[in-house]
Amino acid sequence: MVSNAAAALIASRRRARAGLREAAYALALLGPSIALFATFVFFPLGRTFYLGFFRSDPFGLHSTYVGFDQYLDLLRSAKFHRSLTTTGLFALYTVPTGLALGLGLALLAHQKLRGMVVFRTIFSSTVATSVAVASVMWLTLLNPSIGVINYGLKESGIEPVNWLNDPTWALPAVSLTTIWLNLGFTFIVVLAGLQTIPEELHESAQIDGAGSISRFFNVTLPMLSPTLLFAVVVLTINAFQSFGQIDILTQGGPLDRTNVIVYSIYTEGFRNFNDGIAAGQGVVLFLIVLVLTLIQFRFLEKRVFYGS
Amino acid sequence: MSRIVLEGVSKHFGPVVAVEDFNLAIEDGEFLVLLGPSGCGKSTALRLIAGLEEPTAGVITIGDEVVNDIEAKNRNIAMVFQSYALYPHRTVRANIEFPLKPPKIPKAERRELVAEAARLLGLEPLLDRRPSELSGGQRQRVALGRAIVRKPRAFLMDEPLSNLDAKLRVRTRAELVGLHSDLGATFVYVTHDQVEAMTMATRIAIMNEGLLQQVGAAQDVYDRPANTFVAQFIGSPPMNVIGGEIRREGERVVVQAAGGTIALPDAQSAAVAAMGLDGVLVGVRPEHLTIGDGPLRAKVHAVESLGHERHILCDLASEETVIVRIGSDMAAPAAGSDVRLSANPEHLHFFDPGTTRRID
Repeated sequence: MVSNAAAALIASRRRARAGLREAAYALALLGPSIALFATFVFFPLGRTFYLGFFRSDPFGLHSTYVGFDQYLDLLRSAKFHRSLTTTGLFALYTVPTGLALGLGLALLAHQKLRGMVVFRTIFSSTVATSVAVASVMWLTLLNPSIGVINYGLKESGIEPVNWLNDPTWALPAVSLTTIWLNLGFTFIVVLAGLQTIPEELHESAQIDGAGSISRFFNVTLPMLSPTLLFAVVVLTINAFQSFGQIDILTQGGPLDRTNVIVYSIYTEGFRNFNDGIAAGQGVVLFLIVLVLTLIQFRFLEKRVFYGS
Repeated sequence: MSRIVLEGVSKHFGPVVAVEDFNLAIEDGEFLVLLGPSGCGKSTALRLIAGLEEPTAGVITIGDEVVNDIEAKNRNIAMVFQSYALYPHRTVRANIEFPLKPPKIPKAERRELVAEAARLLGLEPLLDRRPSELSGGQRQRVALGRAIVRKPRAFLMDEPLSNLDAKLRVRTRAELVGLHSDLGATFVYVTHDQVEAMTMATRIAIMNEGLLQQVGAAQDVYDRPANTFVAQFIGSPPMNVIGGEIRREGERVVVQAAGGTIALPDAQSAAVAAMGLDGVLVGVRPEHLTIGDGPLRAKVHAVESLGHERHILCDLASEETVIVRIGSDMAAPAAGSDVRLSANPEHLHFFDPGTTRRID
């Protein structure tokens, strides 16, 4: 009996040692990526949380510890609420429209026609366009005096709009730029999704009496759902993190109408040198994006079909 | 009536000829198998009937209706695909129900029809599962269920058994034959597997390189192949075909092949004379060659044992190889030994070496 127990003990120790060795091996393999993530993601994230507990003086010099007060102030601040609303509107303007356009273009480019490669290249080209280039391009297009868009409006007898300086139109104009900028990405992702749908499913539906609209809703859309979910999540996160186009087109103006969270963080942190407020806003943005992503995965996943 | 007629049907994909001048009448209630090697155009022929391809030339009729300009969705035919093409996001029930259009067919009736199809195929316990939760054989049944549920004019099947394992394939073969006789419907079935064709078909249509080679009942095609392609495609191991020279000995016409001399039967003699041939291809099935006394000298090259039978590969003096099939209960000659082969003249087939067509 005793020797049995001893043997069991030795065996369990041996197992534990083997487990430890395996864990060490796994850690060694993961090491480099953990180090990278720690340096560029986890540490800044923790540091941001920490900075949110300190209030900076008007010159951005001395920081006093205020605990959660700054977060509470932020949540009560009307300016921050406006910024949140603007960000929400921006996402609302850009995500559904961008997704619908990307889907439409991908459906068109999925046709088996001669020369389709040319269109596929054109439609996906914005993915290779930098935010700065796209913004400058749209800055020109939207220019009230020399812009093509206003020229078109004037020619068709519609009153020209001062796109980027009119509080009503600034956010839609920035959204338009963003939709265009994201279109290449959405197009490529959706087209790739379309190409994974077996042709036989369409043919089978066709033989079973389904017309093209019925095939779209009964075959294409359900089979595409994982791709669309992915695109929605990425586009939403993109919308909440947009900065470049706003900086170049409107600098958050006019009347803060395009002052989305990231731009507000930038203004507080690097113009007003108010690190504490900027960090607090960063944390709130992080939480919003986290929650949104969780919601999207939780609720949309039920309607998503992920294959066999 | 669901007679399917193809008249002079061709399908070209750019420079590629998939089907050329295809003429075939598939009778109502027939189980017709389109058989051929891969790339022979059999699937294209099926897709032309389905309406998934438009013919480059020719007329396709289903029932009394020319369907050339009728879209696939309006042809009222069903098709079972090799991959089954089940909708992965729908349950078995919803898959089977899919062809039943809601506005035309009321809900109660739809439910009734699905239940009936499920009963026929033994799918009742699986109705609420999704295709990913089913085995290959079960998926295949669901595909069949979706096909039979709306009582189509004809069933088209594109290699529906090729994704099943060998044992299940044998069982499903018998079930398909049963289903065909229960439904009394027209089946058009594409396969490259001659065993499927031989065991299930009322008639077999053999295709090669886009051309229809021969149409007939399984036994007829086996016994009287129309050309050397059919002769060698049907039957396993394939028919032995060797070259021979025509000699005239007075009134008689004889063939000299691989060192042996065969007297041509009267009908073939006359045909050979009329065609002015000086050579002919002689075909004989492996089971019709016997080892023992005979005019053909051969050297045994290898002996393959399949358990129930043996294949003796023999090299002839003419350097051609023939296969002899013998039962496993018979003594096999040793590899390397010299043997003599003979065949009953009535089991010989003669083909024109130019056109490869059968000489009758």
